Amino acid sequence: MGTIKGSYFTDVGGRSENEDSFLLIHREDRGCCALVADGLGGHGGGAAASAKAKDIIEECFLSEEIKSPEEFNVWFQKANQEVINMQTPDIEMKTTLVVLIIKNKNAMWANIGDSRLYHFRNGELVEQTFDHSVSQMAVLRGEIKQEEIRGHIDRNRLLQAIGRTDTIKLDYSDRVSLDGAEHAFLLCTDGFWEYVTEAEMEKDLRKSDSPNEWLEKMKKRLEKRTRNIDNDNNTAVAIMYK
Amino acid sequence: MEKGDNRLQEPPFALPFDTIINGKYYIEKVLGFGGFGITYQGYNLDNSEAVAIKEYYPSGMVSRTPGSTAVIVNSKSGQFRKEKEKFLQEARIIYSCKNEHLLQIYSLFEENGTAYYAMELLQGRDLMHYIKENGGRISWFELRPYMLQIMDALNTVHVAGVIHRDISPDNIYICSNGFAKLIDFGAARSLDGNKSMSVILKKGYAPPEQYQSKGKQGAWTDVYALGGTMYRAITGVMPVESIERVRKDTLVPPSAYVQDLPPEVDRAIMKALNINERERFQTMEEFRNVIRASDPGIGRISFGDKLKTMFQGFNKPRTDYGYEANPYAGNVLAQNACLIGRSGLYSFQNFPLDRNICIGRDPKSCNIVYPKGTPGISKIHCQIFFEPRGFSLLLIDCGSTCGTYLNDFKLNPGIPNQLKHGDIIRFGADNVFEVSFLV
Repeated sequence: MGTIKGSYFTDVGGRSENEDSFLLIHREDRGCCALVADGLGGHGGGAAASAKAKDIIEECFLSEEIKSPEEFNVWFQKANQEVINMQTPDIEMKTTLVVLIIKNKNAMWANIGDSRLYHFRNGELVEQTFDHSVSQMAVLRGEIKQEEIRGHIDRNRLLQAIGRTDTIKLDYSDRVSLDGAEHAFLLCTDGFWEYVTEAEMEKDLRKSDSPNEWLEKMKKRLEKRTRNIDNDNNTAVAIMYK
Repeated sequence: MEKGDNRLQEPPFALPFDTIINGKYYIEKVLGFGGFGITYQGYNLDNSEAVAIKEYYPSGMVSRTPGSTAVIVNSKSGQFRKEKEKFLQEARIIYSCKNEHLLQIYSLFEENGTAYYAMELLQGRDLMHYIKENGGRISWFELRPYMLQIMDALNTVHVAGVIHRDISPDNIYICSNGFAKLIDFGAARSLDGNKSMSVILKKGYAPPEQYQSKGKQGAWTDVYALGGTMYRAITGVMPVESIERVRKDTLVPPSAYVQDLPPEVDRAIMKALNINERERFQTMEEFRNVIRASDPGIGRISFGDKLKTMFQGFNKPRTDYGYEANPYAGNVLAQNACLIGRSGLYSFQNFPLDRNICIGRDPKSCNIVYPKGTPGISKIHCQIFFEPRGFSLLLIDCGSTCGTYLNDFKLNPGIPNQLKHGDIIRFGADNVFEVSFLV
């Protein structure tokens, strides 16, 4: 059984409130659960939505076990219904959501929105989640390159989110075996990945012995780039499995 | 209509009842509203004609105190002014296009801080309801003539530089006289992007470029939406949402759902629905040419279709139940059938059923005409005619507001009902006719 280490940070950036939420918990019998959520909607709606989604997923994680990635649909749908129920005529509440579960040398994850999960094996990026945004679609249509999503005009146009419609379409991974290699996971909201490139994530990972160290290095880059601008809330959860 | 405190409409931010705008349009009721405007039914006081009035009312940007007429701009008045001008500009273009398959616009004007246009009030139902009435889908051969008409209208506006951007079965109207008309322009507009999707698009009909703020939209955008409309109409299935198809294209050709679809039409619909705009028909004319050249299916239209074909172009000049060339000469049943007025305006009058009968308030289309203001009678209320082979007499309600009753049974609009000797037809407050076959 490999060892799991995790770390996190969240920052309000240049905004007046932090609408991101995150989760990082580990239970002997249930494994490890990591989550980030980026809330949208004025008047505190975003913060409420992302916090509610986090609470629901936490509840689900602690009370039931899912055997396969498709079952994330159940958790996400629960979160979706709760956030929809919270809506008022004046306040629209939505949130992105990324959830990772590691148990018994296996990992699986699911996402909706444009918060991301990056998976590194032996220091190399092997996969990242698809954004549910118009920019991601432009990449698929061959109009722009993946790297050009950062700063793209349609980056904020979400095609899927929690709290928008009764039916949601999420992406989920295969069940990934972690045996026989060192793995790292980075869950982050767009306020974070906007300012740190994938190449830099890899570079900093290779030079770090702990998730905390890794996050600190990446945070420095972000801070340097956002020194004079009103950047978005940014949140990241890092996990290392050895 | 009640006055005073009860002038409020549903929704309350709409113009109150009895409002008169442009000095001549009297607002009667709200017909519908969406993200960008409110449509009212009204009345032109100058010529007593019913009209529909479209008001520019972008719900995100404006508000109105219930009971008042002035529109209050909430935010960014510069943006409102710009969008309002676009609304008027498109209306001007449609106004100048004048195509019989394009909703006719009578006048455009500004008042109450916003923009309006008055247009013809349509009788009939939109394609979505038409499809639903037919059990969720219709045959290609029945749809084909309507599509050719709409393509004609679209081509006209494209040539004038306007893209509809919101084509769907909701925006195609099938009038009581069998004409298809294109309605509701400019509904799909993108407001400035912020985190949430503020573009109101019809999933399944909107191509990928409509989701993008710098997407290149053109005639090909309407081509996609019309292809999607055809797909939905003939298969009964919504096309897969375009952005889903960008990731993985799972759209199956309509021929997978229906038999009898000419292969060139199957291919044309799929070409129109190509997610890559460069692979579609680049103009409506190209699309139309392929459809026009395809098999019209003479002899393959069902009985129901033939009836509808009979409706097309039914616009007879008015003379009070005047005599025109007898289409039923030689029809024995027709020679002996008549409609006897039992009560109401035409009591004791006898109408020989040797011609198509159209009953209503519109003197241009009807030959049994009721005066303006007769309660319970629509402009084109109902029609009586012989089934094509001449063996049975049919009554059809033309979507009347208050209904047509056959032996006290309220008829479903658009569905023909066979008439037999002694049947009683009733409509309006007190109008009763008896069917008589004097054999």
